Amino acid sequence: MIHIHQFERYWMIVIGIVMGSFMAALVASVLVYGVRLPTPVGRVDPTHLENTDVATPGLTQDSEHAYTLRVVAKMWQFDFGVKGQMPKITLQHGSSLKIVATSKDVTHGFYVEQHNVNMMLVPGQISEMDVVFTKPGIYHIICHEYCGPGHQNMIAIIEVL
Amino acid sequence: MQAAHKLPAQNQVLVFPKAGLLTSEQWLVGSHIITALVALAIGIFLGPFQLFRRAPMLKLQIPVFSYYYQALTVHGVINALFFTTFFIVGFSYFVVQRSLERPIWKPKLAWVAYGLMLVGLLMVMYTLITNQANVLYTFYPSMIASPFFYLGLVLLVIGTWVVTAILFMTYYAWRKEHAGEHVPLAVFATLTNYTMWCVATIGVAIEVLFMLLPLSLGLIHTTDPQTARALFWFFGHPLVYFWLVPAYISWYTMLPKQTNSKIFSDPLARVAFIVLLIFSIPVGVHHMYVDPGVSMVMKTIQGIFTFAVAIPSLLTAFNIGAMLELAGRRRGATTMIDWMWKQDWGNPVVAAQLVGMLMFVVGGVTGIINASLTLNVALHNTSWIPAHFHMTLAGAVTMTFIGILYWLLPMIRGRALYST
Ligand code: HEM
Ligand SMILES: [Cu+2]
Ligand SMILES: [Cu+2]
Repeated sequence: MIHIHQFERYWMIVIGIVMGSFMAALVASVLVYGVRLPTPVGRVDPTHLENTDVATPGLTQDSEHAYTLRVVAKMWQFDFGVKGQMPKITLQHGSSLKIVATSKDVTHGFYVEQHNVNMMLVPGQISEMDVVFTKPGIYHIICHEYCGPGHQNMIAIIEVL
Repeated sequence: MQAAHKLPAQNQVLVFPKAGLLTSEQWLVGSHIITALVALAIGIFLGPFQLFRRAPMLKLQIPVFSYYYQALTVHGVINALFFTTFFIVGFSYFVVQRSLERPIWKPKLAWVAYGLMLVGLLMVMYTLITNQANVLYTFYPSMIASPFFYLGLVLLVIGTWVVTAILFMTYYAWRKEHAGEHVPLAVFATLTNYTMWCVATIGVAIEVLFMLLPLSLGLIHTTDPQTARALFWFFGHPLVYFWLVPAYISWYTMLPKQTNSKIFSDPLARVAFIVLLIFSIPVGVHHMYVDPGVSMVMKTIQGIFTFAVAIPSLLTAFNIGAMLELAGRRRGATTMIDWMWKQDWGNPVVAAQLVGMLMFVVGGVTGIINASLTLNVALHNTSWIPAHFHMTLAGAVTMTFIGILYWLLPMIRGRALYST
């Protein structure tokens, strides 16, 4: 057996406690604070998006304070079904939003400022995330995965009133 | 072995190890190291300009490559893939020859491997300069570069496979004559590192040979980007340990002599390297925490493994810390913490490595934060990530390599680093 110095034993116990408490914090972040990661919800054929239900991007209202936003990301914009260089949607604060997004061409990113929404939009996969907007403000949606020469302009806006 | 060159007469602190190099070693190790340095010079030149380009007050243009992502691809590919690999291969030849005190197996083959890697570097550089490969160093599909970009990478990897064979055969030759002896720690770690590398490169080899290269040649027209990402990161994570282990080798096996101290625990160092090998293979998914195509169960498992892979680094922190404490005490430190700054800061070999370690503290802390699944949501693909790897790769690893250069370059060139 390896001889382990006493101090190093103490150090190992410290490592164990620290890493263990980090793990506990992770479990708490999921169970107590409800942080979610994207998980597999379905696949689409990115070359034939028009035949699928992600084909009509846009905002739909499901109930008084619940909305669904369908997004098709493509070089180099987020298609919400809204015209213009920088698409924008407006919501009342307190609304919950279900985001359903995919990519039509290359891999894009989907990041909502100041909220727990951070997903990759990978061709062939549907990314889904729920978010509640509690504070009024302008929040940018940013593509955070390099997707070609127009990448830095791939931004959209969620305005919360 | 034949007589070695005499060591250059120079400042005493820079003389390490005590014997000089053979001419053949000087050429082989030297070619790798110099190629690595030339690559680093090109890659690093662009770094500050990328910064200026992004600074709201400056917004300066990047020279030579006006397109930001072309410059960024050069910076990433050259620094992260070529500088590191050339340096590590050269350093590994040195470590294995000197620790086992025998020439490497088939030196001619080593030159073939060097040639493959060099042609790879030139091919990749050519496609980068001619704007045919603005795909960053992650080169995810469906963004496709010129076939020569991928072929260049293939040559680099094949070269390293040949290097692996050479290093292992050298070890076997030594083993036959030294049955029952402990292999020196530096060689043990080097062989662990190349084992990890060979397993890891299988992932990227499949990605490049069956997805990217056929796509780029027009043989196939679609592929599955999610699978490609999984294959890339199967390689991409062990890759970071491939960079780190040579730095650990220097800290564990060379720094004790350079600081007039001794290694605290050789067996625990070996345990650390083995744990690194085992847990670094399956953790690539921690780069895909926010990918839609990976299940929560897989993300959780690999998150736990990632925490496990932090343990060898925490053990290293203790082992190296204890070694440095002794060094500080021998320099007159008496209180609980004054050994931390009573180090040999006047010796560039030591100072560069200590600075690397300080940066690695930040790199390690940010790494554990990255690994924490739900925190990853807050930082994935933000500027936090370049900050993290500039502390680990550009910090700890590159600074340690610079420290190594202070004693290695004079040996290679057979002359003092500076004249007095
Ligand atoms: C003078 C020192 C350096 C400066 C100022 C610098 C600066 C930068 C900047 C501004 C970025 C771009 C981040 C972005 O746009 O997202 C970057 C990316 C990067 N740097 Fe450095 N860097 C330096 C040295 C290094 C070194 C020594 C290495 C490796 C050995 C390195 C490896 C990388 C890598 C791998 C990337 C990512 C490229 C990509 O996103 O594809 N850097 N660096
Ligand atoms: Cu983008
Ligand atoms: Cu990793």
